[in-house]
Amino acid sequence: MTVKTQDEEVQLAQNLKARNKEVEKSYHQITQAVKPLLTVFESKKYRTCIEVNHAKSGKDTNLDQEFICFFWNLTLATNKAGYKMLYFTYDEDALAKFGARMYNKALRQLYKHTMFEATKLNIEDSVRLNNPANVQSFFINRLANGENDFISISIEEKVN
Amino acid sequence: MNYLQAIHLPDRQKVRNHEIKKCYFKIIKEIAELSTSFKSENLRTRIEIDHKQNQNAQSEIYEVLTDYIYLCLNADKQGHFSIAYALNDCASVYLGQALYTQVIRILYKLTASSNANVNIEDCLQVFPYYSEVFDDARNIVRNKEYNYYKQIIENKGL
Repeated sequence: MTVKTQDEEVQLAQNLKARNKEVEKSYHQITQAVKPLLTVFESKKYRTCIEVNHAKSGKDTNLDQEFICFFWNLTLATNKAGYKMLYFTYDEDALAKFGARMYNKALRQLYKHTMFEATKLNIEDSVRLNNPANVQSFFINRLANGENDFISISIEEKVN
Repeated sequence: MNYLQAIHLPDRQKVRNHEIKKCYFKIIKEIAELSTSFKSENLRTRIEIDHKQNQNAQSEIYEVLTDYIYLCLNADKQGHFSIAYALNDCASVYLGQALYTQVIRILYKLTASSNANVNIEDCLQVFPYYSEVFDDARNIVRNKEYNYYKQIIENKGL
């Protein structure tokens, strides 16, 4: 039977903390990198970003941060083992309506900022890509509820 | 066969095509290696098609079909190469979400500008997956209809 010493437990906890910090950093890098993808659209709806800081919501949740737009949802959450994870879901209707070009570009940013060469620690296994699903209705509901202490809504400037 | 147009392209485009082709085969190799970790023989099976031997091929040059992913090295009418991929909707169920994400990472990692001599990031195209295509290919292999279809079953790794 392998028994962890107190030193080993401290080391493991420190490693986990460092890894989680790196995942969180990647989350922010991805959200900054994907916003410019929205600036090509004429309609404000497609340039709207909703950012949710679940940590400030006061609710008991494993969700940390969330980025939602018409096209995708990127969620930073902590799993049961205490590992921060990134969950990415692209909207299935947007994929059908606008084609896969935007999907491709968004995925590239997701993988770029979590690849081994781009981070201090290997966090490649922190990413979970979901099948395209219904994100739009979720986006519209959040938009309808408006901003508050932990939800901010912004519109990216159109770039010609 | 569109890829034959590639000889008329300017050098810059030829270099780009070469890089995309090289990347395509690296992707196949990495996915093949990853597949040795799959328990199911069905998931370790792939069919490789060399369309250079297919007189009727238009845009396809090489294709790989599995139960979870479809990959194709294509050439458009001007001879410009691209890599098309399609993922089975059930792929994340078959592989588990971690492996599913890892398979897609292989595509984006190997086509990243940091990993290629020229920027080929826009060479990837996403298409819907049709399981009938894989089923048809399996039948072709079973009936030995075309010798440019090859079925490979990776051994399960330790």
